[in-house]
Parts: sequence; structure tokens; C-alpha cells
Amino acid sequence: MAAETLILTVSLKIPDNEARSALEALQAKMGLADSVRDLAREDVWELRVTSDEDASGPQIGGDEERAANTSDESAVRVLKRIVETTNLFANPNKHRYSLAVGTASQVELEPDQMAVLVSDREGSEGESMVASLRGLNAGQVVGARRWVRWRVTLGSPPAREDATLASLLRKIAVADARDGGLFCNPHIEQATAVLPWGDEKVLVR
Amino acid sequence: MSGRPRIAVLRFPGVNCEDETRRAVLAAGADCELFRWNELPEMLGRFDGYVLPGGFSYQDRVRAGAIAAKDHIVGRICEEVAAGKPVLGICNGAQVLLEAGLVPGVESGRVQMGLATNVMPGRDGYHTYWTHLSVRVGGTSATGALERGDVVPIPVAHAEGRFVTAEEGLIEHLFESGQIVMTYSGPGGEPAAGFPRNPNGSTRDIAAVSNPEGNVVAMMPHPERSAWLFQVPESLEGDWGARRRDARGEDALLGPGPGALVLESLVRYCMEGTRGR
Repeated sequence: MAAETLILTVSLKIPDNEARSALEALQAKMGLADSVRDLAREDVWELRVTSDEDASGPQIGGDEERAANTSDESAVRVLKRIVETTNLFANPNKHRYSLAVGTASQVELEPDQMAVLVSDREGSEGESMVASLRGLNAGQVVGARRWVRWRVTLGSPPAREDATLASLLRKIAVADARDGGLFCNPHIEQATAVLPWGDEKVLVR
Repeated sequence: MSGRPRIAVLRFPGVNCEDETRRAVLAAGADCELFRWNELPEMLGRFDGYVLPGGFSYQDRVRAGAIAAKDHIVGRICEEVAAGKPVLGICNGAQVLLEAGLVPGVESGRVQMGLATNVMPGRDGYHTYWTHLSVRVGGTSATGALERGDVVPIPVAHAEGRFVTAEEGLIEHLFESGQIVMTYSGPGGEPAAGFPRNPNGSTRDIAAVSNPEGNVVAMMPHPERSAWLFQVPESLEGDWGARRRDARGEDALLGPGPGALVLESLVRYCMEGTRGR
């Protein structure tokens, strides 16, 4: 059975101080109070998961997790078991999580929302996570990449033809100058934006 | 300037080295005050120089140094830098200076570098270690009391200290223009040759970078943690380790350590400006 790519989305169910600080920076320090009304943050893990008995590493779970109609379903069951037994991705006392098949940029947005996904350029966080999981007998996760997904609620819904939208995106997201954005230092991170109508725009490759 | 210069140590929420940095700056010959992030930025004008200390400004939220770089007092620091005043950023302070575009500052105001997560064989995360720094360029706000070729042992303590850039040719330019102020080395100044002497995988062993004028220096090691000889471990290799082992009595142990030379450089820069690089 081949590895499946699954999306694990983790968010806080308690107040998110990091999102609060970022919103404060955007509004009060960077002069974007009119443009940015609210901000939320999620960790999005893009995980390659195999439910194959022949996975190279040690495994959590057994026949019950592998018993499914499709490889997707089986991989979801395996990953759910790993999330809930390792506590590496989410602490049930303060996090909620969801699992899906797809990509990190697939996100439902309100008409006045954009998403900005930021990941480190080298993917080292993912490598560390895979190594940690192997140490916890969860060798079914064979690849990982972490994105921080910022959900930005704008002052008003943008229009597709709005020529200022691209510059606003950079002003919020790309830290290429002190008077530039916040979320992504282009020397160590990459960033992609998702617009309300679903279009993706690579901000930093 | 006559008398002792006045130096401000900036206190952002989450920094944790401000008090010992202030004590070390005082010992280096300056009057020194803590300056809170929420004080009036204009009040910074009464100081002759500035230190951004180590710690976790804003708890490293978003990214180390990212939010502090947007603070109004950093905007004022940019103005003071343009007027020629010196700034030393230590560890998290270095991260703030890079995020503010003050270092390397080849293109004014642009963010041209980042401090990436440590790369260490067989491990990751936070790392503390006594490093040896080889001085490549004297005359800056961190090296005015040092000479090219001097070696000073100073400890590092960080998780994101690897100087990197996505700009092609920038690192070579910084070496050629004398903006790579200090590199990690062995105790005799020999190349670090990888981990552990290069403690974080920093590009070409870079430990400290200045702006083109030399009045702003971002360095990852903590000079305030080796400002007195008693702070130097007896087991340390090199001249400073030997001095520590030979030291007898309180007076000797309370003598200046290698990090004091960095802070004396800042004080000297306040009083004299650059002496040529």
C-alpha cells in the first residue's frame, strides 16, 4: 500500500496569544488597523502516512487501524491513532484537530478572509517530527511538513479586480523590510496566500 | 565626548538578559539604563548608544525578533543609527536587528538575512556552548577594543542562530566589504571546521555581522556572560582558559573577561566613533 498525503489541522481551543500578538503588531505597530480586522492561526501538517504492515519503522496500531475500505480511510485511522497516542501534534486539553485528505492550501474562507501559509524553506521541522515519531513507534509517518496558516479577516471583502490587493498581501505577509510585512522572512521561510475565491498566490518561493 | 557615555539597554517583553547586560555595560565604563518598549521613543535620543539584549522578545511569537522589529522604539533606533550612534544586538537582539533591516543594511531598510534554526549533527533545538570567536574586522561598535586576529571565547545559547540569506552573492559581498565582524573558530583562531566549534551551522562560520558603517553589529554569542574572568570555565581551551586557571583571589577573578572587550568596544565607539576599519 502506498503512502497517502493527509492534512492534520491543529488549532487552540483556548485564546491564542500568538495570534493576538500578531494582530496587535499588524494593527498598532504596522498601521493596518483599517485593513486587518481579525486574525486566527492554525498549524497545518502535511503528512505522508502509510498503513502498510511493511512500513520501514516501528508502528502504532494494528489490524483495526488497517481494516478499511480504501487506503485513504486506513491512513486516516492510523494517523488519528498516532495523534491521540503520541500527543506530539496536539494536547487534548488545549488543542482541537481535524484530519482530511488534501493539501495545506485547501481552506474554506469567508468572503472577507484570506489565508497565508508559511513554512520554513528547509523543512527541518518536518524532519524532526518524523524522527520523533519513529522514536515513539509511529514509523507509519514517513514524511512531514509544517505550515502555519494565518487566517486574516480583512476590513472589507476584497474584489477580484482590486489592484491594491497584491500590495496589501505583501504588506501583511512578506517581511522584506522593516516597513514590510510580518509573517514570512523570505530568507528562511516560504509563503503562499489563498484568496477568498480560492485562488492561490505564491508570495515567497 | 567627555565623561561616561550613556547607553540604553532596550527591554522588550520577554527579554531575559537585560539586567546582566546593564551590569556588564556599567563595568565597561558607561552609564547605563534599561529602556522599556512602551516608553516614549523620543526619549531614546538622550542616549549615546544602545544594546538590544538576549531573551525571547514577545515570546518569539510569529518568529524570533519579528514583532519587536516593528516596535516604535526600533523605528527610533533606526533614526539614531542613521545619525551614527552605535547599536549592539546580542542573540535575540541580533534577530531583531536583522528583522528590522539594520543589519546587514547593504540596501537600507531591507531585510536581507535571516537567522535560521540550528543545524547540528544528530540533534536539533536549543543549544548552549562556549564558542571561540575570531575577530575579522576591528573598529566596529563590537570590535573597537579588539584587533583583527584576536580570539575571544564567548558562550552561545539559542535555537535560531544560523546566519543565512536567499540573496545570491550577498555573503561574499559581506566578507569583501568587511561586514563579517567575527566568525566561529578554534581557540587559536583556526577555522571552526563544523560542529561543535561552529555551534549552529552558520554560513561560513559567521557569528557577528555589521552594517556597512560598522556602527550596528548583530552577534549571536552573549558577551555579558563572559564579561568577568570568573565566568570563564577553567576547562576552556586557549589563552583565556589559561588566564582563568591561573587567576588567584577575588580581585583576579573579578577582572575583565573576554566579553568585556566587546562591551568596551561599544563604549569606545560612543566616545570616539569609528577608528578606521
